[in-house]
Amino acid sequence: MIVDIMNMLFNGTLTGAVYALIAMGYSLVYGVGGIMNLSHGAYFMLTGYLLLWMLQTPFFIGLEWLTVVFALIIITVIGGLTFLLLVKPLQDSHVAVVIVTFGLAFLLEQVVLISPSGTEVWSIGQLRLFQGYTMVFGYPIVHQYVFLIVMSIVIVLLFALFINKSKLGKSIRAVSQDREAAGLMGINASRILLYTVMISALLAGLAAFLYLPGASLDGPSMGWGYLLNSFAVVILGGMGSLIGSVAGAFIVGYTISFTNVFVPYGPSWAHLVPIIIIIVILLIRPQGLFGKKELR
Amino acid sequence: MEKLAKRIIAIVIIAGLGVGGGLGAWFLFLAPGAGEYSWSSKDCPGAPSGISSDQIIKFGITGDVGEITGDGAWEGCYLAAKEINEAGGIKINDTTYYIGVTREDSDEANPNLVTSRGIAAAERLVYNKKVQFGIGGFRSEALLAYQEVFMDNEIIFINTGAATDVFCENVRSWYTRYKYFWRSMPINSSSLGEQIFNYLFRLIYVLNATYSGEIANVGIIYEDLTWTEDLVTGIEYYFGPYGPLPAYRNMLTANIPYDVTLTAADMLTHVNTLMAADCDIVIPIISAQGGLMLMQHYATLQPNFLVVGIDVQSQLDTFWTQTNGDCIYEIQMQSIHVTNKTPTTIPFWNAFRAEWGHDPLYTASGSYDALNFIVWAINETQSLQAYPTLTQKMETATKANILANPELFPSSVGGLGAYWPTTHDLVAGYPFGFTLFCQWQANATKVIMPSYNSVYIDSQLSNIGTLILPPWLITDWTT
Repeated sequence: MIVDIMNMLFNGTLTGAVYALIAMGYSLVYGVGGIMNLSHGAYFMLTGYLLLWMLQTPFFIGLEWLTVVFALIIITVIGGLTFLLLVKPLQDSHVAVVIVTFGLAFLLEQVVLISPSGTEVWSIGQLRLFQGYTMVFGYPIVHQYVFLIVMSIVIVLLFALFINKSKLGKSIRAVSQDREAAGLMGINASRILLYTVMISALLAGLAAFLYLPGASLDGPSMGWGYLLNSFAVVILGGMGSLIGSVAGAFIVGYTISFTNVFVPYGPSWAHLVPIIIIIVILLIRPQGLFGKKELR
Repeated sequence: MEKLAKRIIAIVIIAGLGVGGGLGAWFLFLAPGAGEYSWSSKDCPGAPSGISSDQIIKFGITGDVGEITGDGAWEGCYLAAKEINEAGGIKINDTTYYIGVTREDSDEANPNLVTSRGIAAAERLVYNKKVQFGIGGFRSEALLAYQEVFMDNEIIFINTGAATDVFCENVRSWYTRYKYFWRSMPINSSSLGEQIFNYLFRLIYVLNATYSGEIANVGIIYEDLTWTEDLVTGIEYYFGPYGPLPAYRNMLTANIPYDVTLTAADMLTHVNTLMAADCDIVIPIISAQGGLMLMQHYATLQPNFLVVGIDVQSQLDTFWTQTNGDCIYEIQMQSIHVTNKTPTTIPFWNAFRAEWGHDPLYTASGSYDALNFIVWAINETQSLQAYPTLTQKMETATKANILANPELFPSSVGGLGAYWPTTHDLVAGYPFGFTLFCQWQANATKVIMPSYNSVYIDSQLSNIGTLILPPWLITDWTT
């Protein structure tokens, strides 16, 4: 029984840590600009494939860690281009932004699909920083995943510090609170939105770098699953609430893990849990756990 | 008022364009017979240029384009067509015909399956490309839907990828409708389950004799999909409380079905559940990415169990690179390898590798056999009539007839290709439809395991190797 509880707790924490990183960026962009960026899951997927493609390139043999730097830079730039080329021209219409980012996600998926590595599943285990595991109460704690969880917590804390203490962070908060007032105070809201989308893409890229070396690239459509779960996380935590995203991520993570371990035949429908969460929260508390009620 | 009028005109124009565009597209591409495909020598690999559509026997392949299963079906058919065409095609009543192959994307390997895409693919093959024969299929849920298009149009369709029993049971129960349906690969789910059990029965016996009865528990982990149902039922029976062999009863201590969209974190949970259940052998029944995840965690955690089962992705030689070698020690089932299952197996293996640069997947060997099977029937009957001529000829490829006169039937590469005349299902069991158990060993080598004569006669096959256990497992079982 203790092993089952450890199994549930560890994997719930692991799942929560991954979703926290992905959902935080997703929520940030919505909170600041009211932008629902449906290509966010594709950033996660694409980072994985960028890492894979570079690892398959002879130039990077012995320089594996350079691939991480390049992949994160590229995905951040793609985030920026998404804003400049697609979101900015359409940002007055929420529906148009949703549709265009949805289209971008499909485009990125298809681009990966037609690549030579796009049709198979792959491991990028060369980028695992830690090997092996340690037994705790009869349960193997995998070192790579401990690294992920620790790094996720560190990134969340650094991010909170950045938002609250740095000049750019304060500008982001100002734009999220009142875009017009921020503009009157001399803040270039459009530029802040650009930075926000780039930061969110970077967070998705970091999640991919931390998680995928211990996991796998499951195909170009893998981004949708992460997008859906992130969506559940931010609906649960409250759209635009960073604390809510982190809390929501761990609640979703533990719920999936609990279903996997303790519910008979739970693994067959554990991934229905986020969808159920979306429906239930939207019905009983549309603003989420930490979100503010919208004034009408 | 003027604004309103403009708005109404704009709406009318947009609606007109939309409806017009939609209707145009429908007439051009979707309506039965619309936008008819023009067959030419480009569809006939290995055939001379300049041949007309009338000289082509048209085969349509359904499968997921860009996925290993669908590509395998295409590659197998392509190779078979090329060989036949290069040999001069086939003669029907003194007229030379060539084999044309075309494919449509059924998107059936997509975890988020949309069955209408498979139906649309089948309709494009039947109505627009006017195929005379169909080959392919992989995902049972998809094939169940789109097989009806072929049955509606009385076109022979050979399934080369879906194991679910029900397909061929339909032939028995409603022959008038489903008589055009056949399965050349794989053997059905129940038979697969039986062959796994037969192999494990001997393997456990051998291991217990070597390691003093250490093998006591078995676990299964499988995709919660239609194709695994019969297989799982079989394994649950064989290792359950009412199993046929008392020594193997109550061995099943973990039973994990999972959703195919699972993540690596989910798989980690399941591997830990298998470890907590003290499994000594774990049977995966996996066709998608779960296999790679399982073997990754297996390599990291080094659990005290051996992995023996179905892992479709692992059948390809690229799996070693894909997993960075984490698949080492996995024993998985595959239809062919470099061994003399039949006299044509190794030549096919070599020709396939020369053509495509990688090992053939089970859908590839099945499709190769399927196309050759149909062409054999055409040759024998000198007819293209699906029923009764070709169907009844194909129904003569029974176990008894092939054993009595093997030279009268086409040589299949996956085993002696005999079919049950009442179900059109591939006959299972050595030397007909039988699976090979292969283990990944060091340096990316894949070795055929001895089956201890449980599934195949070891001495009759070439290149049989030796089982190598993971060192941590040996340590656990000897201490």
